[in-house]
Amino acid sequence: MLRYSPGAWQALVTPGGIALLAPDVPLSTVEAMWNALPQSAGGLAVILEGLVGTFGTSLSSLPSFAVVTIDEGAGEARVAVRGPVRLTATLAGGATEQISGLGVTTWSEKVLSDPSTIELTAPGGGTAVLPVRDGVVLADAVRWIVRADADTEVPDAAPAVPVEASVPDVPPVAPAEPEPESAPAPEPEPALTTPSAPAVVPVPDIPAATETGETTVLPDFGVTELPADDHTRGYEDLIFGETRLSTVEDAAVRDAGDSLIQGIPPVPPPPLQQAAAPAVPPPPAPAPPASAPSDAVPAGGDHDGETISLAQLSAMQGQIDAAVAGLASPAAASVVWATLIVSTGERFTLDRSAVIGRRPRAVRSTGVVPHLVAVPSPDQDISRSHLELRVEGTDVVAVDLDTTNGTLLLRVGADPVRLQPGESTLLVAGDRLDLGDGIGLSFEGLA
Amino acid sequence: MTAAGADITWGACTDRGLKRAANEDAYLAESPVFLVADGMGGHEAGAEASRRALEGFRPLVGRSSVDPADIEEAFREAVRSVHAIVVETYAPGTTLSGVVLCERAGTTYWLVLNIGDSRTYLRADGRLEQISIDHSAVQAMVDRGELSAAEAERHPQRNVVTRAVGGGSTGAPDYWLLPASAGDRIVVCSDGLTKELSEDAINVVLEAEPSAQAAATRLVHEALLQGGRDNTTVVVVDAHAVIEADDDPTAPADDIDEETRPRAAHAERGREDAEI
Repeated sequence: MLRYSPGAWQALVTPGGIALLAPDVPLSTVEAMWNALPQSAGGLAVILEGLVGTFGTSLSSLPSFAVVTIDEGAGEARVAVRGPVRLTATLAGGATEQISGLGVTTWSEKVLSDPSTIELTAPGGGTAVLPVRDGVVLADAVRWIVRADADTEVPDAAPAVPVEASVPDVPPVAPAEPEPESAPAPEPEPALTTPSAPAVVPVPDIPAATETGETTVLPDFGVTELPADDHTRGYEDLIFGETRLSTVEDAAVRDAGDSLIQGIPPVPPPPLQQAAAPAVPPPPAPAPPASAPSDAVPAGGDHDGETISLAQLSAMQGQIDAAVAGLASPAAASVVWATLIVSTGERFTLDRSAVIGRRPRAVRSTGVVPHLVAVPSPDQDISRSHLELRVEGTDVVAVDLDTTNGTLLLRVGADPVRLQPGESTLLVAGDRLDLGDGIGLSFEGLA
Repeated sequence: MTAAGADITWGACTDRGLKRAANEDAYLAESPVFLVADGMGGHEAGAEASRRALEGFRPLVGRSSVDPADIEEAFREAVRSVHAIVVETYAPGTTLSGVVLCERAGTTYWLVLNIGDSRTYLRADGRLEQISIDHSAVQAMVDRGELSAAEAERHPQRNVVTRAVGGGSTGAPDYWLLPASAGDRIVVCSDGLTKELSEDAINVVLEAEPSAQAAATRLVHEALLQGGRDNTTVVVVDAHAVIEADDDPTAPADDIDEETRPRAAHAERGREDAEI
């Protein structure tokens, strides 16, 4: 049951959702939204797509609106309000809730559970008394009585003319006639960010849509011409389709045109090096073994994801151990790690890389969280991130991080040398490093 | 709210977008853990994967101190849990990106972790810096010099991730440890945001919205206005005060180590001081 109060705003009424739109939204856009609203799972999506198609994506030009869609199965209403429209809901327990778009840069959204009535009121709007079932009416308030017993607005003796639909019930073909007397709609912009559709399809031979069923048919917005099925559609799906997982090699060797038909690959065997030597932290950027034969991963995969062999299934289940083993804690290993001894007395087991400095910062370390070793430097001789000790297998490599004052390597039987900034130096037994400001590093357990 | 010695506020928002039937994104935003997960796998499996991966980190919620070993263990638990999802189709998986606040050596740190193509940014002094590096086919091509960053934005394979939690991947996450500074703003997002908004556009919104929650909501809504083609999730964390062991806490916290004094220069200064 729905009622409205006549006014200058536009109320869209459908069995599944209602909306109240600012007076300046052109009729063609309003009608397209009204057609799309019942078929859409998301009322807000219909309103946003319609408004963006007409007014562009800038927030400053986006008109005020309120939209309500009710999911009867879930017993809840999804509401969104932008601008000075006021939404007042009565909930099952008798509580009321008010939502306004004022004070919000974009819009307010909420899920209301078990509403009895929901009323949308434009500024200065009256009391919604006239009944309406389905259509578009000029209104300043519209009320949705979700539970029939909540209809307290009994019309008085003078019967209001029931409004069935103010928009003629013609098939929703995009109207060819010019805009009515209302302000002409701005030149429609392409709704998508694709530059004006090129005459040549950017990526040829691509199915128009993925088979994932995720593509939603766009409502027909008449003059706003959302490209529902033109040739840019395939490209859009390609770009905005679902995320897929692939090894670098799989991805890299594919032609662009193949990418739509790749499912998540059916789990290649785990890289041998990880299974065989779980104790060793992975190298900084481990690439999957290049030896994986490309035919091990059918290019097409099983695209609809509906079928899988038993072998594949057990392979996947067997991966749990492999995957976790590949992340095994270094502490669990029997390897004897070198120890870093800072002249301050602190000791660190070099089972992982370390960054030493006045205020150290660690960049991209794969698999393990590195040590951070903060050292005092009253004279600020030492840089914030001064030295990195990289652990590669059981070797320890020192890298001066482009410091202002450098790092001295003191090697037994050799003159002190300054580490070349950014270059790796393999440390050997007996090596010491001088960072300045009286801070020195020594090691135990180096080969 | 105080975590790891830092005074922080945060906000989060997620939306399934305008085209997707379901939201497979999820987030965990409870101090000191702020993570976004973007599930993949179709049907319900993707949503289950992102939810389970985050559950692996829930034991860290409310902790005043988190060790690296705790984080590595949480990640292993996430991997176990996602792999345990029983499916008859391809293994579901999820990205995972975000920060855990840690205290190391008397200083508050952002521990950034990432696997997949969700992203973690740090905004400091008005500059937005992407900290995480995507595990994606196009990023690999960029790394090899085969593709420019601009080309990567529109490349057909930009949905292809090369590492994930589950999904048949055995890959490990990347970690970063950044000293936190007062005024830092961390932004964690799924690719639904970065596919719709440029980094410049994101930075403009972050500048305009001082509240973390308003910034998160506004970013998601702006992504919807740009088309909302994918699930979109944003978590924003603001550090208002942190602890710093550094003896010069007023120094800017950027990469440039400008306040490290060249030895010769401060030897000079030392002499001047002596003369005064």
